[in-house]
Amino acid sequence: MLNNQEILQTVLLSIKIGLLATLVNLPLAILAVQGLLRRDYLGKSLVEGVINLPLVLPPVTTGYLLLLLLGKKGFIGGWLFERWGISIAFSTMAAVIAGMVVSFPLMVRSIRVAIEMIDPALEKAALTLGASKVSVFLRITMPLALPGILSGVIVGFARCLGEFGATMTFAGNLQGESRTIALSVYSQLQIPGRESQAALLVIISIVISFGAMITSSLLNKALQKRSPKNGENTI
Amino acid sequence: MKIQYDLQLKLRDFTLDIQGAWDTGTLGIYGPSGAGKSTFFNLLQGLLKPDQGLIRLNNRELTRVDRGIYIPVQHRKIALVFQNKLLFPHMNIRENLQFPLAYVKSPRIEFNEVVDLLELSELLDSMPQDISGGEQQRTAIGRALLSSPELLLLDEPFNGVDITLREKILQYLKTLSTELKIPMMVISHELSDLEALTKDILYMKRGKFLKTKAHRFSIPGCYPI
Repeated sequence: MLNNQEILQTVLLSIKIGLLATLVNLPLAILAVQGLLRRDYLGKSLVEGVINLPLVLPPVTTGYLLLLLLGKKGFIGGWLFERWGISIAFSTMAAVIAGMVVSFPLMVRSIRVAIEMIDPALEKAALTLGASKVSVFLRITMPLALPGILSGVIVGFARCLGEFGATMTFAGNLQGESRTIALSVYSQLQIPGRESQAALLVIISIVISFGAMITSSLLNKALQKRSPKNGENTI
Repeated sequence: MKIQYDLQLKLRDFTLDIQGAWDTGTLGIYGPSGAGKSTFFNLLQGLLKPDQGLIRLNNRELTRVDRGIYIPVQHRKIALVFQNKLLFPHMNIRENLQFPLAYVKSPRIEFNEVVDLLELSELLDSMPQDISGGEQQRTAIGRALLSSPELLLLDEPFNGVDITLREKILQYLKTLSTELKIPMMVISHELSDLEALTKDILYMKRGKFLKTKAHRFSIPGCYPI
């Protein structure tokens, strides 16, 4: 039977893993979108395919691939363990990485749509006024794409919160380490008579997801008041 | 101020070869739609790269393909007022006008001077989508001026404006030319608009500058018909 402290620990761990995965993913997703949108290069389709792969792969497969790569005997994980004594698999860090990998393509999609909607002529106009490419990105592209970036963050966080297969395979189901709300619900349902505990976690999960969506919606409205839809400035 | 130019460009379907100078402040470029006027501005501004050729302005090589010289857009000191204004929709008029100031080391024009000249003081806290087309046009011109350019390009500034507004914009442009002494190139497909602004007018057709009997040019080196 889960006590209140364990429930609280599970909830806080889920939020921590979701936030960490989303925050680390955010700059990477923005960079990936810039790489996909602004440049043409050989193998671009391949890069796009690799980014989107977790969307179509069964999450358990994604977890297994992570294990092959970052496990103690994996290509990178083996080297990390032998060289530095770092073990990633079956830890909170592994749960964060699993969350990052499965939510990354969703964040990229959301941010990509937001940046694609910006009239490129606005960025050109900023260049003609003396702004460097970095300045244009920070002062024009980012603020105009902010609602979409925010959506990407919420979608990514929600996906991390609901992540199960990859986390189970790569990070395990360890209380206080990698047992997120989704894994805890599963664990409770395996034991007869613990349905009420599972239901409580489900309710908490719904509340967190709704809270995130409402926050996103409010922020979006505030941002849209500040900046209109792209294209409204053209006559 | 005398502006010298030496342009020899070749794109796939577009050639340019003009040399000369004008010192009347404003050069008009007239031609039908599709003549290559905007392409010319984009080449000058650096938004397009030619396949071959040379763009030199005031003895400064901006583009020289054979030597691999290409000055980036943001370092050309050429401001372009686009046909559709392109004000930044997330910034108010004040922020739009102040945008280029962060990139100008020694401004040639003060913010207040531009605001007064273009009568923008009452619009400063408005958002671009809340003001009229003419006010947007004035803001776009003001913003371009505040980048302290060596040359100001205006792409069809009279497009889609009524007669009253046209007169006002003409007046503003004349003031800019006489008071601020900023050399300007203005594109229009309406000859009368340009004639009201300057006597130096180039005629452009199918990517080439032409001499016509109807207009006398003070600029030598244009392509003869």
